[in-house]
Amino acid sequence: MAAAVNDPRAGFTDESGLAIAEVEVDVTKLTALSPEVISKQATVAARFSVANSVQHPAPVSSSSGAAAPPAPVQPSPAQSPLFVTLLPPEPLNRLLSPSRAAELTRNFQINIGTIGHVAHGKSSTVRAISGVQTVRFKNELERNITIKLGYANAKIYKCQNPACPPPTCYRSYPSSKEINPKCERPGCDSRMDLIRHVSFVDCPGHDILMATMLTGAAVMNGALLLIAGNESCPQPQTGEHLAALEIIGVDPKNIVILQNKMDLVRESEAVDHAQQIRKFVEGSIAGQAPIIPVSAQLKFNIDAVVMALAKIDPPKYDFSADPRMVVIRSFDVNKPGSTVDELKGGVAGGSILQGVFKIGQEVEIRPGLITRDEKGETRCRPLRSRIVSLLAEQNHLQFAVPGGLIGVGTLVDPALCRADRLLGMVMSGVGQGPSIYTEIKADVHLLRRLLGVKTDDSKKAKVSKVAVGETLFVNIGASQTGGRILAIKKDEVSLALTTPACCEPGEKIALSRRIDKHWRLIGWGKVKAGGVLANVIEPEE
Amino acid sequence: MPVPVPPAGPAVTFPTLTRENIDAARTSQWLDKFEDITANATVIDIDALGERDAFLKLTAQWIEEDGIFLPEDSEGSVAGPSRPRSASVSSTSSTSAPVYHLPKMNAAIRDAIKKYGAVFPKLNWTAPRDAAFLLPQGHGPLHCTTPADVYLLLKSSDFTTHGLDQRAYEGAESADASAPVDNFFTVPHLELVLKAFTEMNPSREVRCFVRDNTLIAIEQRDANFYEHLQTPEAQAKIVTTVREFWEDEIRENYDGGDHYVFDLYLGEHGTPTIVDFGAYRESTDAVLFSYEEMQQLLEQSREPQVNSAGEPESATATPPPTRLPVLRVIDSAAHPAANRAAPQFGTNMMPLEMLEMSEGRTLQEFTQAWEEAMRLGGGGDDNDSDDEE
Repeated sequence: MAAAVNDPRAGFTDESGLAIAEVEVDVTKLTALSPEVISKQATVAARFSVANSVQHPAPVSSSSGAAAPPAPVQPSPAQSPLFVTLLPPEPLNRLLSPSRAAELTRNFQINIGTIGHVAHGKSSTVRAISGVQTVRFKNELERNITIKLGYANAKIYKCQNPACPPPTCYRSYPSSKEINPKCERPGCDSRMDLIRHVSFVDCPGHDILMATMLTGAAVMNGALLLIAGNESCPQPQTGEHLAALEIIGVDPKNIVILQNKMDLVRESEAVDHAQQIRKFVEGSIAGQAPIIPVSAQLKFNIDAVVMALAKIDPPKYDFSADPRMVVIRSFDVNKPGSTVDELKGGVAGGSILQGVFKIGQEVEIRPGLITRDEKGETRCRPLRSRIVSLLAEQNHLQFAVPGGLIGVGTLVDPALCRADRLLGMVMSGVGQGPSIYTEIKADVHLLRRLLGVKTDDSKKAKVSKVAVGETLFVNIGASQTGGRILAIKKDEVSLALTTPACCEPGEKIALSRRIDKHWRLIGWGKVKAGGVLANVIEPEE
Repeated sequence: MPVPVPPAGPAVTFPTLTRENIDAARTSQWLDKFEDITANATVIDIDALGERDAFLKLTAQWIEEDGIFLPEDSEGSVAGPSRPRSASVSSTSSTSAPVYHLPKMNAAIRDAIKKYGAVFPKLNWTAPRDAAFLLPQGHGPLHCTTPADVYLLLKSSDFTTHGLDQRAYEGAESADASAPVDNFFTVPHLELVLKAFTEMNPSREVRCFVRDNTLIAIEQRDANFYEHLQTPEAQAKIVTTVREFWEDEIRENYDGGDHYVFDLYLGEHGTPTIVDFGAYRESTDAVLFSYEEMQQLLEQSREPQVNSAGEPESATATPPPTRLPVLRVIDSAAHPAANRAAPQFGTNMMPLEMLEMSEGRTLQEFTQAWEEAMRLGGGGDDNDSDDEE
């Protein structure tokens, strides 16, 4: 095992021990609204024989222990290009009829920000829609600062029966729900169709803000703005919440206002309150948003919210772009002491920025294995592998597109993936990865004073110039590293990165300085040509 | 109904600690005693080296010492002239960099690196795990091969600074209440611990909680789902291994009182090694438990057993409602901790402004500042604004 662990090229088996055939996906035809591509995709070979993988808790499929050969190739229905979940064979034929395929096209993931005061019922609303209890994370030693990334995912369904009236014909379930559940309306015996995947993001969350602020990318497709119906509107924070929606850049058409806690007020009060809200949001980003009275506690009118969510357009992505994913987590799922033959490759989790990743695809992760010799010289060896599994939540995918967190199972030496070691690295197609730099040149603009945060002393808030020899914290796109200033020429700054990073000229960077025990944003920059490329040992074919 | 009085029932979530209890968790205080069952380490007593003030200036971030400038001659694994790239052309910039001299520490760190190959640093109680992203992690987190690596991590970490100010003795009843709260003088004794760097498999790390000299809880430290930790056999083995190790090696030997936290690494063949000790207080992350829960567990375990000889392992046939210790692992890939969309310590990898903003406190203010920042050139357009003075 030791030898293999030190050899980044050492191969590990996938769960079946067989070669993984690349999934065929014609990305040039893949759009959110192309039924023939979706139905074609639906015939892609099934690798995972267990329906819906609810019993598959491991990020990497765990059928290795079983002696059974992999399931024979069988058509698998695609419920969406993002969440290709496999079903038991029985309903396949029905699912694959052309009309059904057309309906499936609407089945795309949308990211919904939930915004509102904690006490206004944010988490109970998300729970009412998704069935998932969102959890706040705490951070060691900094327990007052919560990371608000309580992801909750839900599936939205519409009843097949045209006689089933809206909004009752819309339903939401946890993401583990089967694809065609029975309609729950008494007397309606029809089945329901899965039409959307919704990922709820408590916002404004750090990752959302980072992405929005640094790259200008719109991460949210829509937002639920929660306002408590038993308090007068506006509350002090309501204006802030509207401002947040503007920063995040949510499409005004896709904002829904929920007037919560309707169980605590009389009808006349609710009407007055709705008018207060309408007046307050007039002229703002939420000016056109519908106001839906709900009670998250009693699950009153949740179907109307679900209906509003179902009408939010899926995002438009360029699927033909070279695939790129930024790794934000990586781990090793193996049982300690497994032999090389038993080992499963490492798993990298991240967000796909562009393009499509497919099962069986050859990918590389850059910078990869970074080592330094005694002289301090750095070398990078990009990691190459095939994709053996793709997971979103607990759903196995055949291919994955931007949106949500994707876990990519690889054949990379699992030890290299432990403890988020691949954090900030970029996964791409082989030969399509970004350049790796040890030194970058950037045009930098410093802030005059520190942003926002309370400062006792106005002199302290002034941002002093950077100096040669100073080490700053550098965010490059979605990755982060340190950078020591080597030279300053007017606005142009040369930075030696403390660990090599992927970037491209034109990319934006954010610079922070260690001030009073925290990283504080002091400026912005744009990478220029003329950095120093890392010493990269490209892996052999 | 008579209310049973628990023997030494903890009425509160946190026990009262003394400064001595907290100091006992320093590596220097337990390293010799547990030498055979913990990783090799060197403790550099910074105060004794006589470089306390210079080190504090470097790391403790005095108001006038913002920014990171690494000490002279701290790069490279051997002492010598400055590396060529640090002598790069300085422009007309008038800002001069502060200079730090820590020659003795540089030498002591280099000695440890020479001895162990690479080191894993810790300041007083805490390792700068939140700053790991600043160094290449090909060998694992916090792999340091030069003094500069060590300084960079210490200076960049939010965690280690916790041990450098008055928070170091948080939760301790102050023996001398007259101790001044002024920053400089309350900085505790400074020790830099350099552990021999070893590759660790995070799924083998556990954190264990002891209160009233009772092992209450054991938990997985790493926030990922591991299938091999799910079987009852694997879990029983972990509980047995940890409990026996605690009974045999730690319970009688640890000097930090009756309430403490310890981290173990369950190595090959199930032989544990001690990773660390910590104080039983809120700043020690309870990860999958909460301290309230652990207090309840302890109380529940006591309720029916009134016999005074209540050794936990000699439990009788009647199953007690809660048998201690309780093991907790991440039991599903859908567990919120395992399903997170952020790296561990993600909040320590971004400017404070973003944290503040996400708390929603100063959003209005931030929006304006943000626009201002954009105006100053952060927006990426090329109009050079007049931010030169």
